Amino acid sequence: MMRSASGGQRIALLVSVFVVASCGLAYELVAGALSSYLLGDSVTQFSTVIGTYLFAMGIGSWASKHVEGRIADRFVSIEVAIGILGGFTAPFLFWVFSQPGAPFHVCLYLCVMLVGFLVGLEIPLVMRLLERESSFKDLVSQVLSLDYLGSLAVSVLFPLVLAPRLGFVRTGLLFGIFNALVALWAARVFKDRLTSPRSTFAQAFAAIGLLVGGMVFAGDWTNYVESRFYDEEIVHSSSSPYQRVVVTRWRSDVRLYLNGNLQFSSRDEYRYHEALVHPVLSSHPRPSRVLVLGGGDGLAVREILKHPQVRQVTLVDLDPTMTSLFKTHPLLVSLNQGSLANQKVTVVNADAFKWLEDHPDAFDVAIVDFPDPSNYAVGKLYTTTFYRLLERHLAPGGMAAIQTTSPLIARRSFWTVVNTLESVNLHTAPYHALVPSFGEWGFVIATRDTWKAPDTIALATRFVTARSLSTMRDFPPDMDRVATETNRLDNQILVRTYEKEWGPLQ
Amino acid sequence: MGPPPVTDFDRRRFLSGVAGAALVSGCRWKPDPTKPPLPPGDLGGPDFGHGHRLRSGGIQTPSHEREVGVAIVGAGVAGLGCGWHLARNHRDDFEIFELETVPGGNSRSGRNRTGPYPVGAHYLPIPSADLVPVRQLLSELDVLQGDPAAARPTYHESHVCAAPQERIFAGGRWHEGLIPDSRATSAEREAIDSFHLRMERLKSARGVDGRLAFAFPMRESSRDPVWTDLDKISFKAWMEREGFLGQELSFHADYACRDDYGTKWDETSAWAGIHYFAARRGKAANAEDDAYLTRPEGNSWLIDGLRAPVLDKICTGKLVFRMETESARPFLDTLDVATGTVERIHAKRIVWASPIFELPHVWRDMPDAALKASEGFSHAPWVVANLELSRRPLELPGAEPAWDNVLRDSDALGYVVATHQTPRVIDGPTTFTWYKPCCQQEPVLERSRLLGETRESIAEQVLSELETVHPDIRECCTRLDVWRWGHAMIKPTVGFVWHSAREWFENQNGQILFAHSDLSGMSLFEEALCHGVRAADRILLDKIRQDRNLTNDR
Repeated sequence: MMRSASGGQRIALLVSVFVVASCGLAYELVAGALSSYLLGDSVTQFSTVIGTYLFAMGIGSWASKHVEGRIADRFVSIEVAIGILGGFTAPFLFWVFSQPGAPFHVCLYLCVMLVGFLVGLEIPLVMRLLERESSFKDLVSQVLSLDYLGSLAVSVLFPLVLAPRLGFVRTGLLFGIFNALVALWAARVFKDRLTSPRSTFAQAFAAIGLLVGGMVFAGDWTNYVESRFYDEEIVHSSSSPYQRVVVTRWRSDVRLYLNGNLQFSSRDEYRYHEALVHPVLSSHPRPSRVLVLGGGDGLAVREILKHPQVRQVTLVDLDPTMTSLFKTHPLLVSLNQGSLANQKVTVVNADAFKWLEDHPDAFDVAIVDFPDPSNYAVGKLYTTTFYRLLERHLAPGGMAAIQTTSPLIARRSFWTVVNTLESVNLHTAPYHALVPSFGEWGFVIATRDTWKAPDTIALATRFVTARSLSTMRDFPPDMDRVATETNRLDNQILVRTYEKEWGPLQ
Repeated sequence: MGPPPVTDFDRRRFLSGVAGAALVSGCRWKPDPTKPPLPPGDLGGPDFGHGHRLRSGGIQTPSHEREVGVAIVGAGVAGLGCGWHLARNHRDDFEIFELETVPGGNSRSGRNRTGPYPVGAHYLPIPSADLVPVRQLLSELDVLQGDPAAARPTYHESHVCAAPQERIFAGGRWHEGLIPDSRATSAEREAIDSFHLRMERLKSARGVDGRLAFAFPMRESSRDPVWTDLDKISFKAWMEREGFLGQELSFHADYACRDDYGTKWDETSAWAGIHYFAARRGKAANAEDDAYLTRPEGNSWLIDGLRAPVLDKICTGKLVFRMETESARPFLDTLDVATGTVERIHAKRIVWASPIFELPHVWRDMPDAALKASEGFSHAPWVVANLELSRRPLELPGAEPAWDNVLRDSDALGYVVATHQTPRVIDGPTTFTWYKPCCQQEPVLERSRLLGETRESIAEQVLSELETVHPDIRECCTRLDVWRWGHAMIKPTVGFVWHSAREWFENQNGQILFAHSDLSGMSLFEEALCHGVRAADRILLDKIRQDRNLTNDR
C-alpha cells in the first residue's frame, strides 16, 4: 500500500512523527519535573533525568539496527509499549515514593531508561518505514525538523498549561494516549504489512482503554498518594489519637510536622529554643525546678539542661507518641541530645489544664511551648483562666516564658496574649527573634513583678546573648503594641484573630 | 418549676388518649437485629403514680394536725425562692412541702459515671440589675463577684459559658452560631441583620407609662396597649408583618420559641417571642452581653444556693392532696408517700408555688373566679435524654464542638455537652443532654403519646437522630437515661400573656398567695424566683404592719 502512498497519507505520517516526538519529550519532562518535585534540588534532578533519558535514547537508536523485518509490526508494538510505560510512569513513581523504604531512585532511573530506550527506537523505525517514499535527504530533514518542532510544542505547553492544569500524572497519561493513537493509526495505514492485524488492533485498543481508565482515576490516585507524602523524605510518620506526627529529612535538615504544620526545622530550631529558654532561665537567680508545657520534642529541655542550677525538669505533653518518639528515634535523640532520657527529667503525658489543676507543685520557671492557637481546643491554653492557673504554679520569684506566634504576621494575636497575661495581673516582657523557617517569632516572659533582663547569658549560645536580647525586646513600628481585648474561655477571641491573620497565608 | 406536675386530664380522657396514641403511632419499639443493642438506662420523670392518687380518692382523713406560720407548696425555684427570701429576713415559721424526694423542680440534675448532668433547665442568661433577687443569689454563691448592683459585675469564669457557645448542623456541615449565615441569601442576611437591629432597639423601648416594653421580671413591663397588643398575634404573624422573612430566620425564630417556651412560633404570643430577644439586658465586666451562666449539672447549682438557708424547712415526699383557704382556719392535707401517713397542716398563710393546673384537684373551696382563671393554663411536655459517652463521638465537617449543638432539620433542639465547662484540650468521656419539646400537636395528645412511649422507643429515636451527625454514637454511648416531663413549662400562647386570668392569680394576697412561673406565662428561672421573692415580701410586709399596729395599740 505504501508503495503508492498518497500525499495525504504522507502528511498524516509526518504528523505522527510530530506526535511521537512530542510524547518523547513529554515523558522526559514529566520524569524530570516529578523527581524535582518529590526530591527537591531541581538542577540535579533535571540534569540526571535528561542525561539518562538521552543516553537511553542513544542505546535505543543504536539497537534499532537489530530490528529486522516486520518493521510495521514492531513499530506498532513499540508505540503501544511507550504509551503504556510512558503514560503510567508518573502514577507509578508517585506510588513508589509514598511507600516508606521503597527504592525510589532505582525505579525512577529504570523507568527513564526503559522509556528512553523505546523512544530511541521510534524515530529510526519511522524513518525506515518512510524511506521507500522519499529521498534520504528529504526524509532526514522532514523527520528531524518535525521531531524538534514537536519538542518545542511540548516544552512550551508543559510548564504553561499541562503541568499546572493537568498535573504530572494526567499529562503523562494523556501523552500515553497519543502514543497509543499513533499505534492505532499506524496499524490502520500499514494493515497489509502486519502479520496479524487483528491482534495488533486489539493491542492498540487495549492500551487506549487502559490509559483512558488511568485518566479517569488519576484524581483519586493523586489524592491518595499525595495525602501520604511531604516535600521531603519521610523518616517517621504515625497517627496518635491527638495528631498526625510526621518527621521528614532532606539532606541534613530534619523537620517535624504535626497535622501538617511545621513545628521545627533542625537548621534553625536552635534560634527558637535558645530564645524561648535562655532569657528567662538566665534572669532567674536560682532556677532549680523547671516546668515545660508542650514541647514533647525535648528541644527546649535540651536547652534547659545547659543551665547547671536546674535540678529537675517536669515535661507535660499531651501526646505519648511524641515523647516516646523523641526518646527513642536515633535521629531525633541526636537532635535533642537525649534530653528526655536525662535523669533530671520527668515526662508526664497529660492534658496541661488537668495536670495543673490536679498538681500543687510550684516551679521556678515554666516554659510554655504549646502549638499556635489555631482552634478552640488549643485556644483554651491562651486564656485568662489558664494563665491564672499557671500563675498559681509559679514559686515566689517564679517566671514563665511563653511562645506566642509571629508578631509580624499575627500582630494582634501576639499582643492579645500579652494583654491577656497583663489582665490577670502579671507583668510581661515581650520579645521577638528571627527564626528563618518560621519567620519573625514572638515570645513573652510573664512574672509577678517587673522582669529584669539578665546581664549576661553565661552559656555558649549560638544565637541569644545579653546584647542581642536588648534588640529583641525592641518592637519596630510594624510589630508594635496594639490595644486588644483579653482572651477568655467565653470569648476565645484569640482563635478568631489568629484565624484572620494566618488564614490567608495557609 | 414547683413540685413536679401531675397529669391534668381525667382518667377517661387519659385512657382514650393512650389508646389513640397507640393506634396512631402503631410502631412500638422492637429490637432491630441489624443494629447494636441499646445501651442500658432508666426512664425517669416526675412522680406520675402519686400524682394520679389526687384523683383516685379514698385518701384517708388526717391522723394528726399541726400549725405552721407559712406553708409553701412546691420546692421548685419559686417555692425555694420564697423560703430563701423569708429565711434571709430572719423568718423561720415556714415549711416547704414537696412531692418529689429531691427539691429543685425543673432545675434538678442527675449523675452518671462521667459526672452530673441536667434533666431540665440548664442555663441562666447573665441578669440585668433589675433582676435584684437573681443578682443577690449569684452574689451569695460567689459567682457574681463584687457589688451585686453594679452595671457590669464580674462573674466567675468557670460559670460563664465557654466558647464556642453554639453551632448548628445544616446542609451536611456544622456552622458556628445559631444561624447558618453561609446558607442565607443576601436578602435573607439583610433581614437577619435588621431583625437583630430591631431587637436591640426594642431593648430600650418604653410605653407611655414610662416602663420598659419588655422588662424582666415581665410584670414590670409597660401596660401600654402598643406593646401588650402584641400578645394578640403570633410571633410568626408578627415576623411576617414586619418583613422579617427567609428560611433561616424563620427557623431561628421558631427554634427560639421551642427552646424557651416549648411552643411553636405560630402559637407563641408575639409579645413572648420578642421578650426572648429583647428583654435580656445583662452585661458583665468579663463576659459578652449575651453570655450564659451554665454548669455541667445544668441549673441545679442555683437550687443549691436557694436550698442552703432552708434545708431544715423542706419536707419532701409529701403530696398535698387537699387544701381549704376560705374557712377560718386554712389548712393543707398532706400524704407522706413513703409511710402513707396523712397530716393536716394549719397555716396562717399558704403560698401555692406549684403549677396552676393542679389547683382544681386540690383546692376544695376554690372560688369560681379561680376555677375560671385556671382554665387558660396549658403546659408543654418535654423529653430529655442523657447520653453517657465513653469518648467523644466522630465529628462531621464544619465548626468545632460547642456547648449547644443544634440540628437544623429536627423537631428536637439538639444537645448540650455536660463537660463543656471543664477546660480540657482533649475532651474525654462526656454526657450529651438531648432536648425535645413535644409541641407538634395539642399538649394533651402529645402527653398521652409520650406516656405511651418506652425508654427503649425514645432511646432509639434519640440515637437514630444523633447518628446523622455523629455516625459512631451507638458505639460510644454506654448509658442512655430518659426523662419525661408531662408538664414541663407553661405555654405563652397567643392571648395568654396579657390575659386577666394570669393576673388574677398574681394579685391574690389573702390567706393564699401564688408564686410560680406559670403566673408569668413563661417558664424562666428569673420569673419563678421573682414570684417566690414577691410572695415572701408580701408576707414580710404584713408582719411589719401587724407589729406596727401592735405597737400603736399599746
